[in-house]
Amino acid sequence: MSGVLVSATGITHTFGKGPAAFTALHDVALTVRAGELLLLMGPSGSGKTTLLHVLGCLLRPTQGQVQVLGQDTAGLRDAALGRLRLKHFGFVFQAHNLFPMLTAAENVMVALDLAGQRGAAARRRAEDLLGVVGLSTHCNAYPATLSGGQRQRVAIARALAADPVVLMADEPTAALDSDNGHRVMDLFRALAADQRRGVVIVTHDPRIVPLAGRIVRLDDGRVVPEPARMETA
Amino acid sequence: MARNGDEQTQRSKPPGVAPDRRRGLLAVSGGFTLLIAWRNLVHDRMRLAVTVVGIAFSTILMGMQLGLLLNFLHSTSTVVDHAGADLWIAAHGVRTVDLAIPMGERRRFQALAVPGVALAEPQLLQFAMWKRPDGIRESVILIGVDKDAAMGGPWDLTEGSGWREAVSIPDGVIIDRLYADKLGITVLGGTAEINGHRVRVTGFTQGIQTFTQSPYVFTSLRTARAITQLAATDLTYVLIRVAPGYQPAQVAAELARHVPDVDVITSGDFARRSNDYWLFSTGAGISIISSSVLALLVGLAISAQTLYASTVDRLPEYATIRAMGGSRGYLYRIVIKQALLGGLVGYACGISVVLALVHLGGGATAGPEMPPWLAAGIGVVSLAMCVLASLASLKKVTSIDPVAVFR
Repeated sequence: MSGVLVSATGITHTFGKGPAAFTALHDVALTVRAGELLLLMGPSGSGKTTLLHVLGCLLRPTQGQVQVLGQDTAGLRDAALGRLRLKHFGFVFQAHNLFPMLTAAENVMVALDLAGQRGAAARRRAEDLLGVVGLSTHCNAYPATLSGGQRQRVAIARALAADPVVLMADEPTAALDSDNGHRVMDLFRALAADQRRGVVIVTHDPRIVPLAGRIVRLDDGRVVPEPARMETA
Repeated sequence: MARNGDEQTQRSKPPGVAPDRRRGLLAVSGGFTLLIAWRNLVHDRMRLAVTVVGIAFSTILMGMQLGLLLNFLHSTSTVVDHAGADLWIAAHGVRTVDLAIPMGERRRFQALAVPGVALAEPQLLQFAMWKRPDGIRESVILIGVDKDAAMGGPWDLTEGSGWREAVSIPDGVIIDRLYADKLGITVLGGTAEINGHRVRVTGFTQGIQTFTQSPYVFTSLRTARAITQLAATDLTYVLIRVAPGYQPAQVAAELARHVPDVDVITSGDFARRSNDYWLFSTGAGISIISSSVLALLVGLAISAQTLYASTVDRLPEYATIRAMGGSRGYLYRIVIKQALLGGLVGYACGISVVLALVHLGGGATAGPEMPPWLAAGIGVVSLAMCVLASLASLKKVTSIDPVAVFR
């Protein structure tokens, strides 16, 4: 399984029980490989966000198996899953959820602190990461003083803090204008192509389709086959 | 099924991997959670102000009430605390040192015959009526002691040539500076009347307070008997000093066996009995303690409410931390540190006000006391209150679903 970062097989997930039960995913199989930028697309309610949760070990599937770097996650307790996420995954959210009272560097340092890096070394690493996303001059800026695109890039820097092998993003460009959207997507593409990370993005944004290495479309909780697109690496 | 990427790579972890994160809860992130907590606290100035004012108010109210309580405790038993006796013999049924019941002096002689009694000295304590030079009358508590007594005399004499000399002067009495204006005598040599008996102030003490607001007036046993018109053999207490090698409890038991119709009480028990009488029989203690508890509850409610609101405001960020793999313990530390920081700032403000008020009220006859141990104790209670106030917030944090951050 060389290059396979996350492998999901036979994933079915049902919310609720009894007559009100709703099955969001039906027997989905998917792998995330190093160096690829994978888009999860589909109409609202198709199950793409649920699949992102399952792939990111935020949600245990009702059935099926998720392996992260070959490790089966089924038997892990919540705390162990948390450590797994901390070690291997970085998350970027539509609303970025930065602490408003912390500077850009300090927001990145939150993730470093969780990973056990503290003090001057953490500060230097936070500044380096902000440099990677083009914000080296905004280390001491508070989120309120940054544009939407800049905030999203701070969130990406934060997601990279623990040096994850997989980045997961939920609608990262939805709140951005075209320029900022492209800038953020270029960053994701570079992270996949240049740094050999797996990048999984849930999106409705058709503007970013040309940048994807692979697209997985979902409909009613099932994967719809998609013709091959350009590779990212 | 989606096409799998054909890229095969050996990369499983890029350089700069984060160090071991399986560390003890306390070892990880002590300083940074403190930073987050502090920034959370000061980010919303209005909420910070409400928190600080609430905790400061609680601290001030607790400090003043407990300071008053301490003062009351000291003043209700001050005569016992400063007498230097190991045991007290009092008429049977005495409830507080200030409400003394006369008894015959033969009790003293009976006590002297008991093994283990080194000293048995008489004291006479009675309420009396002081008449100021301007004719105004004030209630006082007259305390008569033998001028050669080793126990039961006044203390902290600041004016006069020693208390034994002061009470040796015929009709000489010693009053406290705190009550000089109340008694209408502000200089040595001033004269007044007690129960129609002319007396001369021959000494001033400093800081002998009374709970009853009837000032203590010390004099000789002879003068006290003359003023109170008790028989020459009457007294109200026999103060006992136990001989070396004897235990007070053991001697007390012997005294109780040999001296009839009296209570034999250790100094500690008599002080507690006096405290309990004034504080609980009169309701004063219940009132003070309930005010302190109320202050605590007010502080608890205010700090809990503001902390909870602050936590709710931060839920998306906390959910992000959970999604990133942060533990609940990490969030608990932020919330509890925020509560403690709020508590510290509020306490610092509140106790400063209390200390200033105590300083300003230093000359008052019933002002609060604030020794370091009480100030520290109130600090501990205030911080404990803040941690308690964080429970609702902790419950909220516990319920955070990391998936919520995507919604």
